[in-house]
Amino acid sequence: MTRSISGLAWYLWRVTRLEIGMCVLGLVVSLLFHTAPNATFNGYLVTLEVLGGVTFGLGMFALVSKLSLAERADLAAAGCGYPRQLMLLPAPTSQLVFLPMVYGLTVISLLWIAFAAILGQTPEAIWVPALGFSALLATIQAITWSTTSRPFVKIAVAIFWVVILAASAPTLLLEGISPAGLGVFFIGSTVLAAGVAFAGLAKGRSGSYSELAWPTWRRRNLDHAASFTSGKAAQDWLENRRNGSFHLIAGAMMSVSYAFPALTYSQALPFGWPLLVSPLACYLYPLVLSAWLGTFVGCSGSERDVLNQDRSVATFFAMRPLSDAALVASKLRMALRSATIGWLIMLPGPILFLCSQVSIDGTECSIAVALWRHMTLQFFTGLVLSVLILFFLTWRMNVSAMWLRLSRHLMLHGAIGIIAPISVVTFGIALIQHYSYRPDLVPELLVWITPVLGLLVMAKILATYFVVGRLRKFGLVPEATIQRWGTVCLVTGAVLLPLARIASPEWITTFQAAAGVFLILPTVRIPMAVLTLHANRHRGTMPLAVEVGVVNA
Amino acid sequence: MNTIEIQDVSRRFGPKQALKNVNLELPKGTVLGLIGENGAGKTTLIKHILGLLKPDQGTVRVFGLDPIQSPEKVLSRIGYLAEEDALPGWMRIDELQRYSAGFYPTWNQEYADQLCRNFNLDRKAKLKSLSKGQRARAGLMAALAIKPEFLLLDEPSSGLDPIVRRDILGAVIGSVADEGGTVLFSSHLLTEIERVADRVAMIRDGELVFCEDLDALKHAHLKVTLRFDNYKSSSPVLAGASHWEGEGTEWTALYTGDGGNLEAASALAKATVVDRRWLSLEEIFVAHSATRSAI
Repeated sequence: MTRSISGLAWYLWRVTRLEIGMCVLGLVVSLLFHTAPNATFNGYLVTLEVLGGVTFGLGMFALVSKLSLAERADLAAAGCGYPRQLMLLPAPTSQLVFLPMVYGLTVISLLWIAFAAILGQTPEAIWVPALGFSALLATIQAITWSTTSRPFVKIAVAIFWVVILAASAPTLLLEGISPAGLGVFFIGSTVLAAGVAFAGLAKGRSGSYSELAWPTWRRRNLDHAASFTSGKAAQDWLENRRNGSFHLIAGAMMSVSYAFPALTYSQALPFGWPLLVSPLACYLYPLVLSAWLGTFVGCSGSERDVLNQDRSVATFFAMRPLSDAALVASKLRMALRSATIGWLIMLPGPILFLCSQVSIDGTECSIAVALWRHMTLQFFTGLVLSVLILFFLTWRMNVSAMWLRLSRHLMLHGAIGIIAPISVVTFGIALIQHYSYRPDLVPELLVWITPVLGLLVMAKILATYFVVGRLRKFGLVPEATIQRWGTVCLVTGAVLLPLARIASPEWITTFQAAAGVFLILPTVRIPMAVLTLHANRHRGTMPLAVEVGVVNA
Repeated sequence: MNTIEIQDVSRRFGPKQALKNVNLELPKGTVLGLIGENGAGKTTLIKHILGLLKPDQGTVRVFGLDPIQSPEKVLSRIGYLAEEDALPGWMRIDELQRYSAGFYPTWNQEYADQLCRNFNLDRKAKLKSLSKGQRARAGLMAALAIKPEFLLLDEPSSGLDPIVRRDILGAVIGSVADEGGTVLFSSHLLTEIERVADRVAMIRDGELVFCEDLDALKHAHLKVTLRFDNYKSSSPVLAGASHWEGEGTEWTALYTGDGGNLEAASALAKATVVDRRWLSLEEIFVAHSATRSAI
C-alpha cells in the first residue's frame, strides 16, 4: 500500500514538476517586484509584476492541464478517461482517485494562497478562491474520469457544470451569500466531484458500462450522404462538416455570455469593451472560448515521422488531388463562413446589451445611446481593436495554433486540457475582479487586455523559437530560416506599430508594442498560408514550419 | 512509357541520409515489390513519388509530371493505401465514397459498392468504429474505386489477418489484370511479393540495392553446398560465393550468378558441388540485409 502510494505520488510530482516550477518562478518574480520600492524601477514595476503574474498564470494553465490526467483522454467518448497505464496499477481504486485529487487540490490551493498573499489580498480573497480552484479541478477530474452511456455527453456536462460552478461564485456573492457560505458550497462541490470520479473509475476499471448504439431511426436518417460535383466542393464539405456544428454552439454560447450580464446587471456601466463591464462576462467569455477550442484541438492533423524526426501535413489532407492554393482557399472559405455564422448567432447578445438601460450622471438611457453620446477616439479605437481581436479569436486556426504552440503539454492533453486551465485562471480573475471591483478602473483593464493577449502571443513566438532550437540539433533548421522569420516579424512590426501609434495616441506607452506584435500573426499568416502549406505538403529539407497546425487544423 | 522515373534522388533528414542516389524506372503495367528493412527508406521513397517530400537532389517524374509542381494532375491518377490508418475516423464509409467521388472523375460507384459488399463493409459505419482490418479494406476500396492508373500500397498488410491480406493481394492482381495499371507494393511479407510482383526492388540504408525481374533475381542467387578435398579451418574462398557456413571439409555458401561457372570455380578451389538450389525471395532478402558488405 505504502509503495503504491509513494509510486503514484512520485509519478504525479514527476509529470507536474515543470509546471510547478513555472508557477514558483512567477511567484518569485511577483514577490520581487511587488515588494521592491517603486522608485527603483521608474514605473516599470507594475509591468514586471504583471509579467510575473502572467508567468504564474501560464504555469497554472499547464499545471491544471496535467493534473486533470487527461493526456490521452477523449472527452467525446463515453468511457473513463483515466490514464490507462495508471488504471492498470495494482492499487485500490480509492487510491487511484483520491491521491491525484488530493495532490492536485493541495498544490493548486497552496500556489494560489501564496500568490494571493504576495499581492496582499484579504483573507476571504485568499481562501475562498483556493476552495473554488479545488472544486473546479475536482470537477474537471470527475468529468474526465467518469463514464456515461453516450458519447459527447461529457463535453456538454463539462461545459455546463464548469460554467455553473464558476458562475455561482460571483452570483452568490452578489446575492449576499457570505464568503463562508461560498466556501461550504465549494467544499460540497469537491466532495460531490470526488464521489463521481470514484464511481467513474470504479466502473471504468471493471468495464461495467456500455456505450449505447445510435437508434435505428437515426441510422435511417443517415442515408443521404452529400454528393459533390467537384473536388473543391467536396473539400469545402469536409472543412465545414468537421467544424460547422461546433461553431454554431460556440456562437450561441458567446451570445449568452454577452446577453446574460447585459440583462442582469442593472447598475450603471462604465464605457469600455462590453466583456469587461461585468465579472460574469469576463470569465464566461474565455470559458466559452476555451470550450470552443477544446472541441477541436487534438484533431488538427500534423503527422510526426518519428523515425526521421520530421513532421508533415496529414497524409489524407496532403493526398487530395487539389493544388495548394485550392486547399488553402477551402480553409479560408470555411473560416469566413464559420466566423460569419458565429457572429450572426452572437448578434442578439450585443443588441440586448446595447438596449439595456444605464444611468449616466443621473440620466437614464440605453447603452447604445450613451455610447453614441460619449464616443471618444479612445473608445472608437478600442472598439476597432476589439473587433480585430474578436475576429482573431473567432478564426479558429489562429487561435488553435496559438494555444497549440503555447504549451507542448497543452497540445497533448486534448479537450479537457484546454478547458481546465483556462477555466481555472479565468475563474480566478473573475473572483479577484469581484473582490476588488472598481468601475473607474475598467478603462485601464481595457488597456491591459491587449498587452496580456500580446504577451500570450509573444510567449507563443518564444515557444516556437524553442521548438526551432530543438530542431536545430537535428540539423533541420538552416540559419537563413531563423533570419527569415526574424525579418518577417521585424518588418511587420515596423509597419504595424506606427499604425497602432496613430490609431491610439493615448495608449502608446502601455500597450502599443504588444498590440503590434499581437496583430502580426493574423496579418502575416493569411497571405503566407499557401506558401506554408506548400512547404509542409511537399517537405523539403527545411525547418518544420510552425504553421503546419494552422493550415492543417 | 514509364509510370515513374526517379533519377539520382537523394534525401537527408538532418544527419540521416534517408535516400542516396536512387534511380528507379517503373514501366506501365508492372507490379513492383519494394522490400527493405524497417527504416531502410521505403516510405520515404514512396512519399517522394507522391510529392509529399521534396528531394534534396535528383528528379521524380510520375506520368511524366513533377508531383510537386502538379499535385492535382498526378494525385488524381494514383490510388494510395498508406501503412498507417490515414483516413478520418469521423467519416462514414458512404461519406468517404461521395467525398472521394468529388475528386476523381474516374470514380466508379458501382465498383465501390461491389467492393463494399465483397469486403463486408457497412456503408453507414464510421471509419473509427471499424477494426484495423476493416479500415484497411475501406482504404483499399477508396483507392481502387477510382480505377487508378497507378496503385501505390505502402505496407498495407502489416498487422492484418490473412483474410485481409488476401483481399489486398486480390486487388493488386485485379488492378493489373483488368486495367493494365501499374502497382508499387511495399511489404515485409515476402511471400506476398513473390506471388504478385513482376519486379522486385530492395532498399537498404537509403540505397537501391537491386531492382530486377523477380525470376531473374531468384535465378541469380544459389545456395550451394561444397565438399573440399582438404580440411578448412576458416571460410573458404570462392569467386561469387559468400556467407559461408560449415566446418572441416563441407561448407555451405550463397552463390551469386546463374551457376554456369560454379563447377569450374569449384574445381579450381578443389571442391565438389554436393547440392545447389535457388534461393527464395526471403533468403535473398536476409542475405542482402544480414551483411552490409557481402554480395
